[in-house]
Amino acid sequence: MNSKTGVVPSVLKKAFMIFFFMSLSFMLWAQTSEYTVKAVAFEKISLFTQWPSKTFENSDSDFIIAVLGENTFGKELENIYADHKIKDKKVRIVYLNDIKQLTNCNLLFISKISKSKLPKILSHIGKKPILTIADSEGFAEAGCFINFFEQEGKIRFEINQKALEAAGFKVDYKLLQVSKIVKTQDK
Amino acid sequence: MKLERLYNYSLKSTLIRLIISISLIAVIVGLILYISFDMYNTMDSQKKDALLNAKLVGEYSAAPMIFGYSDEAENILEKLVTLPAVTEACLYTTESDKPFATYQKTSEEPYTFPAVQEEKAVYKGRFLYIFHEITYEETRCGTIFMRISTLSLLDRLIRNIFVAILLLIILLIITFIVASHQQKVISKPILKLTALTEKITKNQDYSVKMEYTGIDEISKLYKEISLMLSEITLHQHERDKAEEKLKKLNEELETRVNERTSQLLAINKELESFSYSISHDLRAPLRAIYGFSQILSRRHRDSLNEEGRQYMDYIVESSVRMEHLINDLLNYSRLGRKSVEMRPISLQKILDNIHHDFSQKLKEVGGKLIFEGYDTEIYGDESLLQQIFINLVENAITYRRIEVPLEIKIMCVTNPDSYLIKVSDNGIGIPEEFWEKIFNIFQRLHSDEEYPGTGIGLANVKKSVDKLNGEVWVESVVGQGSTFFIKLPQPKNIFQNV
Repeated sequence: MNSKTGVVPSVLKKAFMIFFFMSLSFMLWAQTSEYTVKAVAFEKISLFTQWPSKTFENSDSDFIIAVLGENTFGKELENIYADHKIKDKKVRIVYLNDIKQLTNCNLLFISKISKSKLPKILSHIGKKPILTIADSEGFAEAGCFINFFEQEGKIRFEINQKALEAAGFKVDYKLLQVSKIVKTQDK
Repeated sequence: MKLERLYNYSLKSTLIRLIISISLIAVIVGLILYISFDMYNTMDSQKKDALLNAKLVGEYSAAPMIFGYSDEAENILEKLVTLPAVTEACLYTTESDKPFATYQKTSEEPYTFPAVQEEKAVYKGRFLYIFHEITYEETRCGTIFMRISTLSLLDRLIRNIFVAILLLIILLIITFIVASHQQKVISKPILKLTALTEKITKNQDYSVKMEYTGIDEISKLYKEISLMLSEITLHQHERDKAEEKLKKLNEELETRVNERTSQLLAINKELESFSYSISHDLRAPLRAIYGFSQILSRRHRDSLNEEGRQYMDYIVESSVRMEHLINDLLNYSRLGRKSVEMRPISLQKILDNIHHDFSQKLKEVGGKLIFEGYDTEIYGDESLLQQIFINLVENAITYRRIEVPLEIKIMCVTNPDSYLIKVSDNGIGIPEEFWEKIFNIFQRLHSDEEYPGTGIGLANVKKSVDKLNGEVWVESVVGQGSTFFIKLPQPKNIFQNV
């Protein structure tokens, strides 16, 4: 690049750079805000949900949240649950890349994973008392218990009530009251 | 005052008023208590209901509040439309003290919702204010606020008062009917008693039978009164008997008195004629004694020695005194025998005679006679009146004081029913203890040497006044004089006294 042509574009480049960083930071903030809400929702949903009996028999154990796939929360989960308890237990967060890494957890957040991989994940979980939460369209119908979606700029969630109850979970009607109830669709 | 007023009502109306007022007071107190209790209960239950509703709404709103879904929360609040008393409601999240979702029954006047407050339920003005904390599984979700109209309470109060007044009127009517009927239990026997006693008073018949069975005290009253009546009858009977006895005794006494009086009169007459004949018969020998002793003393004085002459003087003196005594006695007994002729007499005529009779003697002693009001015509017997004045004037002359000139004053005053004649002098006076005694015959206060007299003069006065149906008495100050009072009745009173 010659220096003559390089003067004006350098200003543009600067402006573009500023714009780029600004929009990036905004996007990051927006994303963080959305995921903060979701992270907080874990506790709120847990409040209205009763795990199958004997799940929390060992009183010393922690409440384990596992995040499968891309970590969209950043450090948010650790921040929030550093001093927040779920079901009166200390919260531990684990990040998994593959479902095979899963050994023991109470809540599994399935993040940005192709829908085709879901059956494999679910079958791996099997009858374990794990509350599965996703944020991809159609996941609830596919057998995931709870799935976040966006409506009128608010984060809402849908519940596959039958699947949840079949797995031995009990869910308060109050939670159903604010959620969309879906059914498993066999396809 | 109040009691007096009470007496003016009849027993019946008093009883009815008493019963009605007692039952009304009881019912009014009861109704006031009932209404107050009902209002308290209603307020309490309204509070409880409101709290229950707040809890319910709170429960439904728990999830929307936790998840921050205000649309859903408002939708839930909208359901409050089924509770018309709730005018405003709102929800507060734990994060802010500003309402998170609001509800208003009517949007006519916008309501400024208060900032969040702690749990409470208070009545203020015409509203009930409720703040209720919503918790879920021991997690605080937020607070619900409700403003509830108390118009229904007011309605209830008005309805209660209306029903109470209606009840009161009905009770008043029923009480009046029952009281009018029941008061007879008390008033009937008392009214009967009143009628009976009235009859007794009217007929003076105490032998009425009184019987009643029923109320203890009243039947006792009947018994007591009938006992009293029998007692009265008994006493009356006894009194009648005693009266009868007394009457008989009285009659007996009267006849006895009459007998005695006639006996006494006869004896008195006998005595009078005896004393008259004695004095009359004594006069002749006395005259002989007097005449011969005087002749003896005059003609044969010189033939007697000094002692004999002195004795002769005593005889003459004594016979003079004896003559006086006999004359007075004759006068006195004549008074008793004399018949009384009552007629109007001019006092002036009598007093003129007196003046004439005593003029010589008054001149001798240097005294004078003064008359006052003597142009009166009085009613009496002339010779008796003459006797009275003669004796009184003689008395005044006899008992005069030497050191002062004698002054005799005769006054007559006419009173509506009597004449009062006063004869006063400035003589020696009479000590008070003798004011009555001096009118007795032969009663003398002084020796014959001091003041000569027979002691018959004032007895004569007394007897004459008695015969005229009058009274005589004396008032006197020793050393200053005496006043004799003679009170004679007016003709009409004479007949009355007789």
